[in-house]
Amino acid sequence: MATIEVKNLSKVYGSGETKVTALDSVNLIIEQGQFVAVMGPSGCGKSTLLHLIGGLDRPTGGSVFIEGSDISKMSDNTLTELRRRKMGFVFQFFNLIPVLDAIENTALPLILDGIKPDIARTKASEWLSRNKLDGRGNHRPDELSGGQQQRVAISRAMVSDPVIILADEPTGNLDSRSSDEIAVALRKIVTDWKRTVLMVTHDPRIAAYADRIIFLKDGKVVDDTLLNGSNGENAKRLKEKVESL
Amino acid sequence: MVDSGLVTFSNANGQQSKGEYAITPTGHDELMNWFRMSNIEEPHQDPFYLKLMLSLELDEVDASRLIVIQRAALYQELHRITEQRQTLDPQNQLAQMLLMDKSAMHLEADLRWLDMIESRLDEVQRQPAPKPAMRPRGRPPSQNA
Repeated sequence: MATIEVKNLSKVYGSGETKVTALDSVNLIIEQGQFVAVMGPSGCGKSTLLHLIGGLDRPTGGSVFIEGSDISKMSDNTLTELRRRKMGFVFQFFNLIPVLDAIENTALPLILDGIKPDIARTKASEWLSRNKLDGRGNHRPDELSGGQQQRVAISRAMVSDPVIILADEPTGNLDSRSSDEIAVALRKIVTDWKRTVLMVTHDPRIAAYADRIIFLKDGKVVDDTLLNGSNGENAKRLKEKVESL
Repeated sequence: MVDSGLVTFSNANGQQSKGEYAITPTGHDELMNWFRMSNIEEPHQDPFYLKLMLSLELDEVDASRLIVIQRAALYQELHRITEQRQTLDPQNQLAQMLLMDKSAMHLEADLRWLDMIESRLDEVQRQPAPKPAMRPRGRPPSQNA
């Protein structure tokens, strides 16, 4: 069973003359433990695809299956539950809570979910250590570098043990060194913890860390490439592809 | 501002629209005070929050649906801002980029806030509805009075 399966997925906004087809009969199968980057020009439908897979929006046609369940047919409450249990979201900014330290920030989703604080703290510490933040657990966000804060954010996304991590331009605002740190952390989630990462990015250098790149244009998949070279070779290939599309 | 003594107005050639305004020493002090003042936005004036709290009081409105609708809209807006930001040139348009960063950060924070509300919605529903604080209404009394 695929982690994500998308069948004839379409999303149309508006109607009549103002009708915009954001996604046009897209089919995709994404297996567990795959790091997938979605690229394409502005307005190509990449964000719409991420929203539909993340259960943040409803398709106008077709279906999204998460571990075999059709989320397009789920009630709001069931979908919310699935999103909370199975999906983690990583944003551009970390939005960590300034008065909470790294452990408390990471443990917050569990505590809000009713997990006992000491259990939540233990799980949070484990994820911080997996993201190379040993010894930083008691530091508040203002005592951490940008890259470290984003790794706290990644730990926070992982702490509820999601199957899928959705990352929406996760490196949009970081300098290139921190961007690489994030890409490495996402890579690690896939390689070491066999989770599935779906990332929207415009940056070929960051996309080069993925296993597979899906290119969208005008709401359709125009290219689907598996990467197997070194990061440098991948980035060069991707840059050429972005320019050709 | 003329009445308050912050600026003076002169129109040498008699044409109302061609006159010149000049800042007075009082006006200059006021301007410097304005620069020194910090800016805190009013966190209680959140239309979504108001709507959500009202929905908890009405059987015909589903609060969790409001969250779903709001979340989808915030994500779309976040994407719009992100795409717009990417079209800017960091060498020449940094000022515009910083403003968009603010929007993106706030939108992301709002999304996290929605998650937080969502996970505690049952709890808040069981509690009595918040009562608005009574605040004086109408125009504040004039400074010069």
